[in-house]
Amino acid sequence: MSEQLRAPVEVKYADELAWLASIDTGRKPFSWRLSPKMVRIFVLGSRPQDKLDRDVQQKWYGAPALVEKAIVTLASDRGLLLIGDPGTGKSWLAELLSAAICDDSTRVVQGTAGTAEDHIKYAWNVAEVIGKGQSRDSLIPSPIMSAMQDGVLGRFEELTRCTSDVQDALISILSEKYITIPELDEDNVVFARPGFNIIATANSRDRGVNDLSSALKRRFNFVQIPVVTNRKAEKQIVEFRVKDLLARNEFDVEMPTALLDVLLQTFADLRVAARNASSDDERLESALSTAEQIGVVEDAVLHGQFFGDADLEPRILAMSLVGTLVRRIPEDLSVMNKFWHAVVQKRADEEGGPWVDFLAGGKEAMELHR
Amino acid sequence: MSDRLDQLALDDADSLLIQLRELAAAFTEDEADLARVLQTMAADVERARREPLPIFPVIHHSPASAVHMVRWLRERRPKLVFIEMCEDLIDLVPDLKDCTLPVALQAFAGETEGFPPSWTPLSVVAPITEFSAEYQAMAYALQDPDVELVFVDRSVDHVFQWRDRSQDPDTPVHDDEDDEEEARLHGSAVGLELGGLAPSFGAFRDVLLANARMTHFEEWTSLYIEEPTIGSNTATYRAILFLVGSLFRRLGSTPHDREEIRRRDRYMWTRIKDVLADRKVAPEECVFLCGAAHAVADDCPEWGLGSDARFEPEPRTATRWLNGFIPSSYAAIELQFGHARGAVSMAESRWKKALKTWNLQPYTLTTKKGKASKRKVKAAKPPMQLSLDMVLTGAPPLADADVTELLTWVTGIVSAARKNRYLATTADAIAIYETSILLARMRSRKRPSPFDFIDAAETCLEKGRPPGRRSIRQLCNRMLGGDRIGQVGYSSLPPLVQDVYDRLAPLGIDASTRRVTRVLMDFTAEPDKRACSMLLWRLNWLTQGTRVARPIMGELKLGMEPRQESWDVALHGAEQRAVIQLAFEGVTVEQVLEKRLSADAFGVDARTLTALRAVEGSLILLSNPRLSASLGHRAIELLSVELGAEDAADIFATVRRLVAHFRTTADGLPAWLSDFVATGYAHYSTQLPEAFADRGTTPEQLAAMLAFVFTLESLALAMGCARSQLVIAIELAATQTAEPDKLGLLWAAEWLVQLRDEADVRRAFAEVLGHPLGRNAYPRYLSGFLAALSFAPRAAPLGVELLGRAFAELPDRVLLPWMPALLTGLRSRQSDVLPALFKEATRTLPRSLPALDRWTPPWDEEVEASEDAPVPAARTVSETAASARALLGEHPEATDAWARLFGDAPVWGEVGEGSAPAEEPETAGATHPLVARHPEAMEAWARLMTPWPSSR
Repeated sequence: MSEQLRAPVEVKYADELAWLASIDTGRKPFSWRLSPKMVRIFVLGSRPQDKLDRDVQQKWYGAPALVEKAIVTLASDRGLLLIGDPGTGKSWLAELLSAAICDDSTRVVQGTAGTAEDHIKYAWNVAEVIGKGQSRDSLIPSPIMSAMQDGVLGRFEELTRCTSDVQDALISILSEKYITIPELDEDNVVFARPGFNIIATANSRDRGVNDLSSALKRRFNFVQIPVVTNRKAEKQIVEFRVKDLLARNEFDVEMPTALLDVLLQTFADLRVAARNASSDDERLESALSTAEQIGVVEDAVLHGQFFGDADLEPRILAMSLVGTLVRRIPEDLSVMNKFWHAVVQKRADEEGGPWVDFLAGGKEAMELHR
Repeated sequence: MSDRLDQLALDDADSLLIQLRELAAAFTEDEADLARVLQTMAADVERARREPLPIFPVIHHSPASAVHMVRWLRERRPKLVFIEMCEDLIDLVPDLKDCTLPVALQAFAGETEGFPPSWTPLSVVAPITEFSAEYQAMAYALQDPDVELVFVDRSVDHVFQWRDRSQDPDTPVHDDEDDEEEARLHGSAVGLELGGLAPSFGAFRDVLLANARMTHFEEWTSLYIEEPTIGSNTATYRAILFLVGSLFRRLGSTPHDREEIRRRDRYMWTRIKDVLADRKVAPEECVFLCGAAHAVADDCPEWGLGSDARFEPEPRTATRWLNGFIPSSYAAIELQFGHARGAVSMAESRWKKALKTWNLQPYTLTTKKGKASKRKVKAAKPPMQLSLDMVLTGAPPLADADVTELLTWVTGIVSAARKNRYLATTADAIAIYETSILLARMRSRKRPSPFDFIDAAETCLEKGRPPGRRSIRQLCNRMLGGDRIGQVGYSSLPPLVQDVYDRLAPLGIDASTRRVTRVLMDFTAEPDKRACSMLLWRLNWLTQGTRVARPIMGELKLGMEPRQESWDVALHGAEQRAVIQLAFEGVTVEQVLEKRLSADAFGVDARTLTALRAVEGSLILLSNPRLSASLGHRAIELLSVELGAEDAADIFATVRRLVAHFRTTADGLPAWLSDFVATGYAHYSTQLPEAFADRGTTPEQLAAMLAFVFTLESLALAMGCARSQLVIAIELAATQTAEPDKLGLLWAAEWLVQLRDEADVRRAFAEVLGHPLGRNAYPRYLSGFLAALSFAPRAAPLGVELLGRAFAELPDRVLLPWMPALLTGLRSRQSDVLPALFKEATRTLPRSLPALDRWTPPWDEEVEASEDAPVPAARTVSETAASARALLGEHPEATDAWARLFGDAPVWGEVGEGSAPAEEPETAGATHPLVARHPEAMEAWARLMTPWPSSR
């Protein structure tokens, strides 16, 4: 078993990245490891006409135009802001891009309400400062600052969770491409090396909490990542991600196609119900994204592995779905109860098959909440 | 050539044939199949090229097709032009001269025979733009009298005959949120496109786009067909189109579509052979314009002049088709045929660029001064036309116009974005330029396409929600050509629309007006404009939901004579289409109006109310008493069989308006209206018990029924109805209901028909109020009673009293929850119930706050008085009333006459003499029994005799 619970992309796909770099003859911007076309192949997978000797697996599913826009933005002077609903794969895309472009996806600042300017620029090692005074040795660079120094991509997760003054610290970094350290008398400017840029992500549901200033907006190109509603693409994502997640536990579970269809159909039905609900109390709090589906399947597989007979069963899947999506009691439970008896019941009556056990499992899970 | 193509395919040298191989590999199992597919395609190309009748393959609204068509026509000057277009639309073509493009040829059938009823009305549109090859061919043919134009495709009737009857026609799907009005110009018509190329086989299309990493099919055609061929020579253009046609027909079409294409080929070639035999023209002197898919034979026995086979199509149905023009727009074309937004606008800009680059003079039918064939072109040397080798093996060279085009786009979009409240600067322009080029490189393009540019602009400028009305994508589409809306010229319009323009001429509106016209009319100064006003009202009624004629000031009501009116009139674009649609229904606006009113009243789903409204509409908008009478009789017919009381309130209101109107006319009430009232009286009387029993009938609906009956009772009785019918119905209704609000209403009705007197009603309410368990329902009883004020204003004093008692005696837990319902309920009845109640309340209640403290409600006074005097007090009269009574006594003949009129014998009692009425009120027993029964008459007389006090 690996020493890392979750290896970063550049470690996990190290072979593939090295191989792509070895055959890449395209023009590379700045200090990029791969050319833009190769980055696209790494993210979206190879096609026959790319004429590669080995097959490159698709890792992010969505409109190719979005990936192209993102890559092109990173090659330009502007930062990239991926914006979308929770669970649409923004962070995953950011990680893939960072790994492909600079072989390092770990220069990450996680934006929270408590993120301060120090986390974006630099902080001081207090013991060192007391002992030796302020110098470059006692400086603790932030992931963004170290990305500037090394000419690689820095990532900023959940940018809109930070307060406006903290966000605005990025303005000078993106414009002037350097950070000054006024506390030092000499050697007090850290310049960004070519290849530096920032990939930020923002949750569209948090919009308006800490909206970006116009100045910062200008320095970012926005790429909207929509919720995947295409059944085929969604199926591929769930299969791909579940396999990936379960590999960590070294499980080898086959997800039956019929069962996956049940899950996808249920989510599609839930989305329709949520769209037609007249108030927030009548819709589930969950975003009903692809990430939620992945969570449901993973939960069900783990349950089956540890407590069941190892196979993925409709009953367990339904229990896991109810358990994952019901967050508020009684609101979510009422919504789910209504949905289950109106929609799932109908499907079980009409289509039978795994729907019957799925229906029973859901009811069982809801009864547990009584 | 075939060998050359095969060789090129094997060379694997160009993107087109790489695509071909991949697609072939996706659908075949081994290389042998692939080779067969490629060979078949090459054979198709060869056969099409060798056909004695020159075939000119085109793509729908493709500038490349139009450019090569212009070249072909100028070089070859064919004498006979065959076009793949419905043969019965040919008569419309000469009228194109008077139209501003884009317009659409339309065939319409309001009534059909032989088609599923759900398809009706049937409508077909064939939009035409300047940069379509067919328009160039039509313009060429119309300019030269020696050239004949023949449409050879199946008739419009066959378009529907050959459709799958189990499915409704595939009309454009409107997206309510995104579609602008211009996009809906074609309505629900089925679209006909000459040279539609989009593959109908979904998997083929998906593979095609996925391999090319594109989102829209138009992007694909633009990159792989338009751009390479627009600069090629015509022979190369034809070869590539034949190749693409073969590929798409054989691999990209569903079996159903392929069969339909084949059937159309059979029809067209049969017709071409017939025409050629008839006209005796050599095939080489002709040209056949058809979609690329029709340019290949594909097992069609009739295909080509080498075959003598003929096709016998099914006869047309008896459906009567009406043909004409409607204005079209680029947005409507895109929506109709599922093109990407902005695709047609981009095609237009490509067309203009091509004309400029190659110094081409297009054919045009425009007759406007200075516009016909007067295009000024620079005398710059046009670039070399490319051969097939060059097109298939290399990317198209940069035309001069391309060099500055991107820069123009970039600065244009930044400026447009700024105007639309985006924060856009020169820095953004640089970023968009850079991003466009990077995107194009990533997508293996030599230069950015409009789609790359739009993606780049969106990436750099769109920051979430658009700050203004339009998004960056919409702004780009507008900038890259923008939408154009066509206009149908006067002489191409049907008689109805011409008549409308003629009649609106005094207002300065004609067929060339392309804006909203604000019209002000003062009928005192210009009485002749009254006719224009009436026409505008009729158009307003007929084209509801459009902006054809919108009244800004003025209204039209029954019997009203307007003095001034102000209108916004729009008769262009979508509005012109709306008026043209009327022409399919009749020859004049009045005829259409009459038809529509009759259809409303005589429709299968017609209700009494719709018929009555049709009557009212006919009275207001048309002076046609026979029509009104016919519609009125229909309303009677419907009322007599109508169940339920849903429309009772509206029916009553409409009938009351009509009765009030006709009473003011010299001829009085028409017979149908009297009959309607009589029928209504009997009908509603009969329905009352059931309606009271039915839990679905609300008290308001019951009140409306009773209002009809009581308000129009005198008229109904005069028509022979009997009140006994109503009395029996009300007695029966009393046994049917136990709902408090209905009971409250019923008590009021019983009071009116004297089944109950005021004291009874008061007592009944008092019982409810006094009952500890009934008190909670008191508001409902009272709501029912108050609803009766709409037809029984005399109940208003009691209503005020009962309301007063409610406020005084109901506990807060009942009163407070009821208050909002009471207020909103009364507010909704402000036209009928509230005035009577308000008037009575004003009379009864004190007018100032201090007076309220000293105020004792009159009903409490009466109770106190009755408690003080246990003997039932006789009705008292005031001093002036006593004088009135004395006057009546002195002149008994007036009262006698009244009594006789009411069927009473004039009998007089003794009248007290020298009495002092104020101190010693006299009883009415000594007077005429009639006066005694109705002391309020004397009070009324008294008030008449007494001067009104200056202040109260």
